Amino acid sequence: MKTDCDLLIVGGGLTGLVAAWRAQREGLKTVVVAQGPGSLPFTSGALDLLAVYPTEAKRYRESPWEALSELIETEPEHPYGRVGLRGARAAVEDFLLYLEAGPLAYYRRGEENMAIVTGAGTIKPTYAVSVSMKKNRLAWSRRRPALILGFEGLYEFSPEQVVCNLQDRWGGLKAARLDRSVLLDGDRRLTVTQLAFEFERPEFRDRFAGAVKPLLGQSRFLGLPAVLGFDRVAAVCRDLEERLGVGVFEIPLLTPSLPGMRLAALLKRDLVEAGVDFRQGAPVSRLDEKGGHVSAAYRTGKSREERILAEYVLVATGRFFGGGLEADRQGVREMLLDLQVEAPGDRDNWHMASFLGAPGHPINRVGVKVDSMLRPVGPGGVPVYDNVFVAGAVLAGHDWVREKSGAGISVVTGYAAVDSVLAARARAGGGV
Amino acid sequence: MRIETQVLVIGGGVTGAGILRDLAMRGIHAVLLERRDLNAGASGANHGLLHSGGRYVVADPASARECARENEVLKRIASGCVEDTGGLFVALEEDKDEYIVDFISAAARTGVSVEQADLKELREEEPFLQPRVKAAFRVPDASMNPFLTTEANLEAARRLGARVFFYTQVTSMQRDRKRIARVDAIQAKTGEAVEVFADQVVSAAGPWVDQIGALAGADLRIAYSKGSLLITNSRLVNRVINRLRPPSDGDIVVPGETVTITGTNSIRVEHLDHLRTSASEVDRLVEEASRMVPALETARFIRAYAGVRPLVLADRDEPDRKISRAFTVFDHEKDGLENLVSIAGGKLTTYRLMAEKAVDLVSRRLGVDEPCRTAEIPLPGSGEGRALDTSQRLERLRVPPPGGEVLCECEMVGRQQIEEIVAELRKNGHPIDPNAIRLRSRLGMGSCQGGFCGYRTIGYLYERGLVSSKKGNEMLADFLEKRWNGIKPMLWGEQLRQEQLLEAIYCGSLNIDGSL
Ligand SMILES: Cc1cc2nc3c(=O)[nH]c(=O)nc-3n(C[C@H](O)[C@H](O)[C@H](O)COP(=O)(O)OP(=O)(O)OC[C@H]3O[C@@H](n4cnc5c(N)ncnc54)[C@H](O)[C@@H]3O)c2cc1C
Ligand SMILES: Cc1cc2nc3c(=O)[nH]c(=O)nc-3n(C[C@H](O)[C@H](O)[C@H](O)COP(=O)(O)OP(=O)(O)OC[C@H]3O[C@@H](n4cnc5c(N)ncnc54)[C@H](O)[C@@H]3O)c2cc1C
Repeated sequence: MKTDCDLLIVGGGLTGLVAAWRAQREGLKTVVVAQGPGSLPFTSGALDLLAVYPTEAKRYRESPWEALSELIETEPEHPYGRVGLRGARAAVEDFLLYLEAGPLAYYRRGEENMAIVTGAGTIKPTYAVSVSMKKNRLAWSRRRPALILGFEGLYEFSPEQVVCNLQDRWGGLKAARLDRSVLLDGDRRLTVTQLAFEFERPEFRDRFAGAVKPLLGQSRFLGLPAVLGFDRVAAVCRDLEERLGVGVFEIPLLTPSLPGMRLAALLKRDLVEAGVDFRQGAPVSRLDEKGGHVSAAYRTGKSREERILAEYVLVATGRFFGGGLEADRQGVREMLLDLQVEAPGDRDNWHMASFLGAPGHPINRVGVKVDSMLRPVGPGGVPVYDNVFVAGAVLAGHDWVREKSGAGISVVTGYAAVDSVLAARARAGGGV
Repeated sequence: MRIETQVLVIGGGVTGAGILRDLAMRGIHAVLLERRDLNAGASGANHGLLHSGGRYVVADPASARECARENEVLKRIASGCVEDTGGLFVALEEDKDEYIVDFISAAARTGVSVEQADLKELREEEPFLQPRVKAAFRVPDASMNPFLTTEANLEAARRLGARVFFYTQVTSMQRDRKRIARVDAIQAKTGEAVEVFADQVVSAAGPWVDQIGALAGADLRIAYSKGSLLITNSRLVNRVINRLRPPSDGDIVVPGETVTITGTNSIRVEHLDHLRTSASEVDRLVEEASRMVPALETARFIRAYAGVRPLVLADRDEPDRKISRAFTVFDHEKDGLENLVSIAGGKLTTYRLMAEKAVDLVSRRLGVDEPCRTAEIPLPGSGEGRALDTSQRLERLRVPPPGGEVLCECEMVGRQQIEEIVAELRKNGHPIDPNAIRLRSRLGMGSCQGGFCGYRTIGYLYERGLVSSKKGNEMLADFLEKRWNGIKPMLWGEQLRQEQLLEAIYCGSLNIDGSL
């Protein structure tokens, strides 16, 4: 039968974007259907691989790879366990080489995790960060004299909070705020996006540098909330460094989070350039399935229904936040194909008595169960469809929030799902 | 710290606050100790229903009469705390006709105003009400904000020279034959010991009244009955809706400012702390309340909370719902104690009357013969006017605060309001944390339940130098844990989605669960 695409990816979060990027490069004709932007615009843009393992002990791991091999040994049903160490390494390596070469110039510290300062004044472990946070890690790890600067009227960021929380371990750390009248007219509340627009303008940077210089004193670094422009962040940082003569870095915020938005925008742009057919807006509302095979997907828009014939389908619909899973008072459902998910008993057992405690809320491990090819399975572990694969946050058996493994799971399973598609195609005799 | 006073009041719920004000108005010097913050007990965990008395007419006529009278009084003197919504009693098809008949005649006997409603009119006034209602009656129920009420009483008392100490827990009492000679307390935040020497001691410790009694060697027989309540993020009804049947689970729906509060039930518990509402309680309350207001079945619930009613046990064993909801003033002379009074039971609706009775007894003992005037003189913030009507009140809530500087977006709480509250707290020597601010504003009461605005508030406290070192982040973690207890039972649908976002931000992005 004639199809519209080789691979239909449902979901435009990090998982869907990563999978599409790889699939298109492998020569698969790819369509992405994304109802919304997914989690990426809310993330710190820092890519976590695995930093806490086991989560029961809240044990921080300097080496994500060492932790990963242990996890794969002990938790074969974890998404990383399903893919295995070799697949994980290859995926992360390939994807990071791409990001490192791109305009966001991602940075990692060899094979180890790094630590960065967040807007809450906490220290977050992660595996790779965009160029604007490279010196965040450097300033913290060397405890160099630094000025943390906030903006009057930007409630998302309190430089005093950062400094108060860290000063016992970081001498030479200072907080200051810029009065908005120094920079802008009017007395409206400042927003993150408004500042980002301003920072892209050289005149604004000029005024900004003039106002900040006298505050620097002995500081060797200047830490700012993540507001330094959109896709030109690298150039903005460089320009500020030249004007001020200190290292400049960004600090990730609660929300909205520009570093996550930048990454989403970059991936989307590159995909579309590479030829991926990216359709945002109307969701996939139903699928044609027969005898364990899905042949078509339907998007229902306001006025019409659109049919997409696909050879293979990748479910990358995220969890509750993305819309891949939904819960009512009785239980949890997978929304696209009603794939098997098991809630952890009745609702009293979904969450722990403590919000922030260990090992993590049982509901977080709920998701779609898959085999080693990432095909969804039914009772008894048997695949229920021959041409459907599942990747990303929607998978069962992980708790990325506590493991600090969010982006890593998306990248590793996104790659692995495409590998599975390629293998299935090869078996079916379809050449690439 | 050493405190000398004429009267010591124990408990900072609505009853204790009412007592403090009444004492102060009669010229009696008084001090109040509260182990936690404003309304930490039942006063912060109720329906906020200013009863007309309708609920009690059949089974508990004494309570019904008290409610009917106090309903009128409070609409006058506490108008700033009351929203005069009006209320309805509705009988559904499955409800018994006999009860309707009993209800009407008992209302007439107890002086509770009841007026039959036109069902067609009703459908227009209450579009979310179950259409298959077989009979409905209008009553003068209203919605009452218990936090504003307690605060207004404390403020009135402070203006007359009374003193209030929060986070100050009574831990022991020294008895000298027939008198309590000294009351010992400890300040939770500083660990400082407090010694109080008072002529008279009034225990308004709600369900803890037996524990306070025990410190003095007085024996009070109290049972604890837990009731749970659920809040939605929007206002689905305009009036208080009661089920016209013998009091049972989930038969009251109250509009409270921007939300709807449904409940309640009655479950015996052994302990007063760490109250939880189970998933099955939630399910039952949602099911029952949706019979009256079907939209509740799919509404977005944002929080559950539970309070404990102290049930004063009579000698025989009675089912909890049958035990009178009237209050009891314990004159401990019979226990050989001349200077202790305990008061328990009753309702938010009758707090003023309860205070009056307790203070009457204390005054007699002190030889003071000033009359009670709390039924005539309005509370601060209540002027002499009538309670605001619904549209006026909602108008006030919707308007963005001056300067447009909003810290809490769900409930439109502005930075300026927070600044005023912080200034007030500092003036009263009260510890400053997001919980204290939440109790005095609507901060954190909306859909995010403080998830976003709690964070902003901490940033603000750091900015103003009101917290230092890691204290603010510890407060934030503590705030998130406290709100969790009320959120956990409500996590399905949209609320689960929102909570997953918050967990992802706090633990995933910011790593506050394990900062290195
Ligand atoms: C607030 C937050 C902060 C985070 N911070 C970090 C961090 O600092 N570091 C890190 O490594 N990770 C972080 N993560 C985690 C990580 O980014 C996510 O786990 C990951 O992005 C999940 O990607 P996903 O694509 O599987 O799901 P999602 O991002 O949820 O995307 C799901 C996609 O599917 C779409 N969709 C769902 N149903 C349909 C349908 N029927 N039809 C069409 N489209 C549909 C959605 O619209 C969306 O586009 C964070 C996540 C969140 C939410
Ligand atoms: C579920 C439920 C729903 C209700 N709904 C309504 C309603 O809709 N309308 C209505 O009119 N009434 C209602 N009520 C009743 C009403 O809430 C109570 O009658 C009223 O709040 C009692 O106030 P109180 O001050 O006597 O006790 P509490 O509010 O319980 O106050 C006692 C205080 O004493 C303090 N304390 C305890 N031990 C110590 C110590 N050692 N030292 C210092 N302080 C101490 C506690 O911290 C607490 O703050 C409801 C009650 C419940 C439980």
